[in-house]
Amino acid sequence: MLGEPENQISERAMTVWRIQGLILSFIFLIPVIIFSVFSYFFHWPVWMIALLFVLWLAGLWFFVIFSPKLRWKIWRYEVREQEIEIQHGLWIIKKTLIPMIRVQHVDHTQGPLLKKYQLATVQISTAATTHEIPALDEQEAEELRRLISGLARVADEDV
Amino acid sequence: MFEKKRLHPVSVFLFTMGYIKEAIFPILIAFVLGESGENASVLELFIRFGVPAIIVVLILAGSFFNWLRFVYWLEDDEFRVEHGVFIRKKRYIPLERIQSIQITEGVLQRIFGLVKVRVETAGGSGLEAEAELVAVTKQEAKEIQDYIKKKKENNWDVSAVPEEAELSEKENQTIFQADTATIFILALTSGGAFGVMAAAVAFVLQFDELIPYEKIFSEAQYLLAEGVSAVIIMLLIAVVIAYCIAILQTMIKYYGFTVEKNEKDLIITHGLLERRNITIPIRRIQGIEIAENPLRSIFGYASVYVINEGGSGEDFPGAVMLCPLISKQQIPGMIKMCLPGYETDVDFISVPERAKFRYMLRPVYVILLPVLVGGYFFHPYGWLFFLAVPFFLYLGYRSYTFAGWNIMGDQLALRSRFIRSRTVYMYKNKIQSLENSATPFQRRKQLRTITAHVMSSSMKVRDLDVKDMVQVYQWYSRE
Repeated sequence: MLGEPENQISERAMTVWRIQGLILSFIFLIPVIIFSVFSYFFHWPVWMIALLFVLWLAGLWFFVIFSPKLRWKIWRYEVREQEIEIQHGLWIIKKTLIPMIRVQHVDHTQGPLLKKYQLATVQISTAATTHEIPALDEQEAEELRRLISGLARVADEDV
Repeated sequence: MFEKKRLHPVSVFLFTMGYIKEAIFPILIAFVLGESGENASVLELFIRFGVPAIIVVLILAGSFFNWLRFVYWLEDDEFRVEHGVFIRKKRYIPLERIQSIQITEGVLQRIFGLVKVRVETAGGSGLEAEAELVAVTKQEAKEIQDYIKKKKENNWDVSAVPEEAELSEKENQTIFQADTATIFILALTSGGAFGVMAAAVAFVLQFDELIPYEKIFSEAQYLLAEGVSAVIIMLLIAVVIAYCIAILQTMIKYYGFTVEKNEKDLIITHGLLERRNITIPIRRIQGIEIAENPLRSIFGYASVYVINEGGSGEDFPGAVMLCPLISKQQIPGMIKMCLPGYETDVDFISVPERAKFRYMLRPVYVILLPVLVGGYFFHPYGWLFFLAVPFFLYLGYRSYTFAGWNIMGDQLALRSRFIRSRTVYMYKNKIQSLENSATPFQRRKQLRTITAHVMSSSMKVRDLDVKDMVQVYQWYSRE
């Protein structure tokens, strides 16, 4: 319990996050290009454009290479008979403990990108909070959903 | 209780008032657009008087039919309401989902000896009650309340201990009553006073273009040798008046604040013009919060809230004020009487000394940018802003000395402070999830941030010793 939770999420999660990072970076590229066009017409100094592109490249590296890998490395979960433990984060590493009896319902969601890579997200809701285990293998996610809702039904205690 | 009932006929008037409030702008616009002089055409006369009259008549008719078509009754363990003139709306609320029943007496209701009943369920939006009966007789309200209570007890509170059942025969026991002096101190120290001042300033600025302040001021200057001081005096008078209004408002709202208790519920009543009555089932209470704003804590006073499952909180959602103002020494005794399960007289374990600088620097980060910008632009006196830094360091130091935790049996207590301090007591079986987080800096110093979530509230304490964190984590874990 005091160590790390034992299960890791699917390695394909990294691929999905990289694609998402790439999309995000290209969205960031739009203002950069607009600024460059402006600076061309108004003869602003060239170093400003250079700086912007360097920043953009740094962002690209962060969102596509650095962050997905580290995030995946940190992401862990464990479902025990009486509780679920989740660990995630990048800069701040957060560990959450959710007792089985507090689980109200479990959702299983899948966006188009996740579907392409046969992945799915499991969402665990308590009366106060919602927790996500992202990018699990489809079948694993379905099993997990069933396991948690089964265990949550067994565990009963006065709220 | 099973027959369909209508609201008291006074409701027609209450509905009308509500609608007119909403339609006041169209009415005013029609009035302003129309003309009524001697040369006014028929159309202009119609716009000025006819349109508003039609709106009012429509509202009156609408209110009447609304009342006619509004029925409520209790059936099959459900509280049922049907209403709507053209579109029928049916709302059936299972009794066990009802979380609290709020009974309020508005000025109008009082004249006729009536009350307004709000039925609230857990987790609702908090703003709109699940069902609202705008005017019913007091007796009727009592019957509904008793019926729901009885049904709930019979159906699903099988665990009730026999001895407790005997106690139920007893009358409600008063456990807290705020006298007028206390309410006055509450009003004196409440943030609402500052709110009214801000509103007054905004109001004055709004009319900047209509009222020729400059002319007034220049004339005032001409008349008075020292115009500036006159302006300052005027402003001060305005502030004092605003403050008095705010005090009066708070006093009216919390006048006669009383907390009563029977074996199942806490009943909170307050208000002068509009008496509010809030019933909270004790078993549904999620925790207790003690809050101190700096002004009150100087005088050794605090406010006590109970964290509720949902419903409408006045100051923050999900919390109901149990005690607007109480001296800190009295809190443990009061809580003992009110909610005997909770132990508020505990020794807090503070955060380790290595967290001191982190605590002191944290508020400084917040003001660093404003101070630098201010210093740069208001050169050279702007650098005086840096005097704020020691003050914020001190604020951080105060937070450091206050932050802490305690575990006693099944109860976890956490406390923290920035400007306002919070101390939250909660039971293990009410905590929905527990978080333990750390930034790289915290990891290096072996510190952790703890966050405990209860229904409709959460509490965070920064920089706990990692060993303490493990202890809390183990306490919460069931394996």
